[in-house]
Amino acid sequence: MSLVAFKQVVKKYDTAITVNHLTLDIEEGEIFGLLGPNGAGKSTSIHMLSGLLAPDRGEITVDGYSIVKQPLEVKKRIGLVPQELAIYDALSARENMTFFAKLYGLRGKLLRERVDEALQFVGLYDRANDKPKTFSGGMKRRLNIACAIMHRPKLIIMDEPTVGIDPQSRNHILESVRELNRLGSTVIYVSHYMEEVEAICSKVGIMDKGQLLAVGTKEQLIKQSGQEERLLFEIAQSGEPSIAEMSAHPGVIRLDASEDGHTLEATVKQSNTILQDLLFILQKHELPLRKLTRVEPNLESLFLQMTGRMLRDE
Amino acid sequence: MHAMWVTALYEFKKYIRNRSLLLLMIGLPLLLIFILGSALDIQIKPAKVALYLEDQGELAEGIGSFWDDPALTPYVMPMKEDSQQQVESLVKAGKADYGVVVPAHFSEEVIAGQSAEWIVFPGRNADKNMAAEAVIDHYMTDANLELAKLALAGAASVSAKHEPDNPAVGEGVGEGADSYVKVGTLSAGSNQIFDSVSAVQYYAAAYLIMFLLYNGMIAADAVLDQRREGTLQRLYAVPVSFRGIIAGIICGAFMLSIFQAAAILLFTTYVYGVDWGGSFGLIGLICLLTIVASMGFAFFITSFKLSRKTVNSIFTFAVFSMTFMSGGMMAGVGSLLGGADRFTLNYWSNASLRSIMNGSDTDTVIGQIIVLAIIAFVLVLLAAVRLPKVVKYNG
Repeated sequence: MSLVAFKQVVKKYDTAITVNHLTLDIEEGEIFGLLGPNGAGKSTSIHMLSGLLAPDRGEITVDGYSIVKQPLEVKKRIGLVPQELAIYDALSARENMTFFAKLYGLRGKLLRERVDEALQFVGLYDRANDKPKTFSGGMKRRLNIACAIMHRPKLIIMDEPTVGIDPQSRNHILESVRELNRLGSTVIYVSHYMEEVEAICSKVGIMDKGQLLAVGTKEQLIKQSGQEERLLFEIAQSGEPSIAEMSAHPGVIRLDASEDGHTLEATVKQSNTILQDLLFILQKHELPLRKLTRVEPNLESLFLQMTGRMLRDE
Repeated sequence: MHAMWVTALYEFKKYIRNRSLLLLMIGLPLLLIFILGSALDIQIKPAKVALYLEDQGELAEGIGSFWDDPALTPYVMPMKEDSQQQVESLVKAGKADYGVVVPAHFSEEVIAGQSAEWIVFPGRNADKNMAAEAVIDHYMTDANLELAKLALAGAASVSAKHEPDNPAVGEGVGEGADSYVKVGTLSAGSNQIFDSVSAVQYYAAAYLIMFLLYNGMIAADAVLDQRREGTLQRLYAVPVSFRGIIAGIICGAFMLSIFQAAAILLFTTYVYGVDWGGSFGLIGLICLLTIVASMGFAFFITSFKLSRKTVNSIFTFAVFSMTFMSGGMMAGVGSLLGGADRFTLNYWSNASLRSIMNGSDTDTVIGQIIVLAIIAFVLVLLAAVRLPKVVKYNG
């Protein structure tokens, strides 16, 4: 049984369908990346999962419990890290965490231990008695995470947890996500940063217009999409003499040349097998190679391919 | 319940740490009470009149009774002296505000139909002089009137024994007898403008109520702020009833209101010397109902999905208007508005507080509190119906 299951979930606002028959399973132990342009329905899906919104149709379950019929059981198993910094400036870091820990049912010694543990985990133990208004953006984001993990939830939902922070803090957060996963939590990671999702997520889902367009590992998605690799050859002089021969190679799908002929872009099926052949062709025509770049299919290109390049305003 | 109390406690903690809020909600009303209460306290203090009754004639007893009449107490405080010199020296020294000497031959001259007069020594304070002279004028006017009547009637002599009720003409007023000379109200009912309480009592009640009313908006803003800042989202995601969370947020503001009311009541009692009337149980009930009514009102207008700025403006305008109409800024305005003040929440809160202050009967106080309770109930009911629109998470 999946830890999280969306079954034909629909959510409408007035006449607009924000989530359109979403069906998705997330297995226990995954770090699941959820991608999509603005207005794709990611946040609405996450909000329904965490009990903030009720689905109009369909069913959402977490660990077998329905969010509609057994919301408290679901919420016990979830830790939500919202996109907004959901912390109180008037309370210290420790007070913020103690408040939320009490609402999660922690008490006494266990509460204190878990608060200390979470503070250590996010690297804020030394600043426990300081107020968030004295924190940097990265520190606030870490506190935001700490407030969601004290009760050791089975599922952690992180909605754009690295927005607007410095690279060191971002790196710390990504490491924390991996560590949380290693400690047994399943993570749903919503982000616009492709490189983050590629770096930490074991499985990715791409949403657009309320529907799930694709789901799988990065390799599966790229393979499914049929995206090709590209090889960019920058040569010291015009590569005109070699174009015909390179184009004729069976492994080359297409060959494009820049106007001056100094850059040749070969779209290939598998660069491993044909790279040497192409280099040999250049050598044969005495064309010295200045630079070689290999462009592999990635999530971003896949994402843009699936969702289009038009700007989205929410 | 646990979630509610935890939330309320942390909300209260946040409020207590907000110094500017505390200054506004407690410091400002205390300042306004002090300024308006002191400046507008026009209660006349009795003038100390050094009095030497040299006359031992037939009118002496009546004159003595006149000065001893309790009705004069709010206006003059006679100090019986043994000589004119003593009277003069007391006035010069400022120990008496005014001096009066009834000369030895006064009764004799009056009975003989001759012009008679008292010797007076005005003091330094014009107001006190006015008070004393007004009392003397009353006596003299009535005495002259009586003498005129007697002259018309052709009476050759006047016997004090036959007119026991007339202190202007002789003895015999006796204990408990009504004085023929009635002293009018010198202050022209100044304390009637303040409903028979002093100015500082009046404004203490008015501003306590006004600032308690603002707490309603604090409660509503607390929910709106949490929604705007994202903390409400996290609160909705915890495994407790969201009604408990919302109740806790409202309770936190309620606790602030109780703290505010207690601070104002204690400070005004012990520092300003305001007499609240002693029934702190009823005063507490009035404060409670006022706070509840204001929260009901605030959540009701917040439910109309206006911008926060608009809601705050409407609420502030409403509180300000109700305070003005009920005479909270200028005493006596209510009567000028043709009784429109009775349609304000402030009117019933203030009226019940002032009734307690001036010792009105319990039925009057309870009646006013009942009206206040009905208003509070209606507002809370409206708010309860509309509350989901304020607290529902819309994504």
